[in-house]
Amino acid sequence: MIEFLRIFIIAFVLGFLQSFIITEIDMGVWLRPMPYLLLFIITPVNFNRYGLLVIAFIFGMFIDLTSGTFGTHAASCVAMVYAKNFIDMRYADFDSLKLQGETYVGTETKGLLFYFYYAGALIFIHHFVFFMLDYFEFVSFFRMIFSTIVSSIGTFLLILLFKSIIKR
Amino acid sequence: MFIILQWLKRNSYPLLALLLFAFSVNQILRFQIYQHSYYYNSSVSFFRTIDTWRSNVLSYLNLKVDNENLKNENLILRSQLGINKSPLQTFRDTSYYDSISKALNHYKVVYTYIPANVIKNTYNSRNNYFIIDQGSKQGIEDGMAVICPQGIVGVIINTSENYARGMSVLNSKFEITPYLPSIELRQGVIGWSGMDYNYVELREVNRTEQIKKGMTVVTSNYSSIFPPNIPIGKVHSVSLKNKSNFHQITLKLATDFNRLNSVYCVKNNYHIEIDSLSNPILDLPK
Repeated sequence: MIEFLRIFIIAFVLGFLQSFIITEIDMGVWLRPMPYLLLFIITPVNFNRYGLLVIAFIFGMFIDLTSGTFGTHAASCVAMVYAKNFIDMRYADFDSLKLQGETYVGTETKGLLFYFYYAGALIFIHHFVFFMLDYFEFVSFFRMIFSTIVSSIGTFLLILLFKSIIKR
Repeated sequence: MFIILQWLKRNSYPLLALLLFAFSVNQILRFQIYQHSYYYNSSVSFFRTIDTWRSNVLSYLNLKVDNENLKNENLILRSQLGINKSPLQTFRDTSYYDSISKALNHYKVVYTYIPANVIKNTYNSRNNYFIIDQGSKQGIEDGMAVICPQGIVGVIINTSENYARGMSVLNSKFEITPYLPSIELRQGVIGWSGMDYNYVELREVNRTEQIKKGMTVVTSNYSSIFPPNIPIGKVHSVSLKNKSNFHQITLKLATDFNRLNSVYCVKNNYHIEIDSLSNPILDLPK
C-alpha cells in the first residue's frame, strides 16, 4: 500500500511537472523531453502487468488532456509499458534484484551501463511511437527519427537528474 | 468455443495492450486536426485506388460484352457511313483532293438515326408492342424502323408528341424480307409464329436453296424501311415438309426482347420517293 501510495505521489508530481512546466518551456523543434517516463522505469518489476498497462494508459491520457495531444502520450505509454514487461521478463532477472533487496532496475542494482541500455531502450520506444503518431507521415521519417534521438537524450538526462533528486 | 476462450486467455495481455493502443490512436484520429485530415485524405485516396482497381478488373471481365456491343455499334456506324451513302455523280478531276471534297459534299444521307429508350415492352402476347421515350417532337414518324445494337426490333406505328408506339418483330402482322449473305439469297418472308419470343419463322424459301443451320440472316436492301445488313438472327433449324415446295425454317432472333432497352429509330429519307416510283400507275403508257 505504501509502495502504491509512493508511486501515486511520484506520478502526480511528474505529471504536474510534465503538463505545466516542461511542456510550457520552449526548447526548439527537435527537443521535447518527457521525464514523466521515470514513473514507469522505477515501477517494481513484479508489479501487476495488467494494472501497469491500465495505469500507463490513464496517465498518458491525463498528460494528453493537459497538453492537448489527444491520445499520443497514452498510445506511446502503452507501447512502452508493453515493451517494459517484455524486457523485464527477459533481462531484468528479478531473483537477483530480490537478493539485493530491491524490486526495480536502477543504477545501484544493475550498474550504470545496464541502466543506460534499459532506460534508453524504453525511452526510445516511447519517443519513437510518440513522434511517429505526432508527425504521422512517411515523408517526415528522418525528421521524426532525429526528433526521437534528440528528445530521448534530453529525457534520459532529465530522468537521471530527477532520479538523483528523489533518490530512486 | 473453448479453443477461442483458451486463446483469448493466453493472449489477454497483448490484446489488452492492443486495445488500449487502438483506443489512443482512435482519439488521435478523432481529435487532432492534422492527423484527422491526413488520415481522412489517405483513406479516401486508398479507397479510391481500391475502387479504381475493382473497376479495372470488372471492366476487364466485361470486355467481351463491351466488345460485342462496340462491334454492333460499329455495324450501325458502318451502315451509316458506307452503305447508306451513295455518290450522286462520278468525278474525273485531275486533282485528287478536289475530287474528295466534292465527293463529300455530294453524298446523300439515306438513313437518319434517332436514339431512344424503350419504356414499355411486351413479348408474351400474340401481338406484341413496345413504347419508346421519343415522339414526333424529336422527329419520330410512323413507319420508321426500330433497331437495337443486337438487331431489328420493329416498326413505329403510332406517334404522340413525346412518345411513340411500335409493333415489334413479335407481332403476327410484322413481316420482313430477309437476306442470307452466305448464299446471297433474298427470298421468303419472316414472321412470328407466336410460340417463343426467341424464335421466328422464315417462310416461302424454295426447297432448292441450300439453307444450313447457323447461317446469318440480315435485313435486305430491298426494304424501304430497314437499312440493309441489320442482323435478324441465325438459322436454328431447317426441315422439309413432304410435297411442299418450301423449306420450314426457324430463326433464332438476334435481339433479346427480354432485355430491350436502348434502340435507334431509323428514318429512310427517300422513303416517299422510292414509294412513288414503285407506284404501278407510272408503268402505264401515256
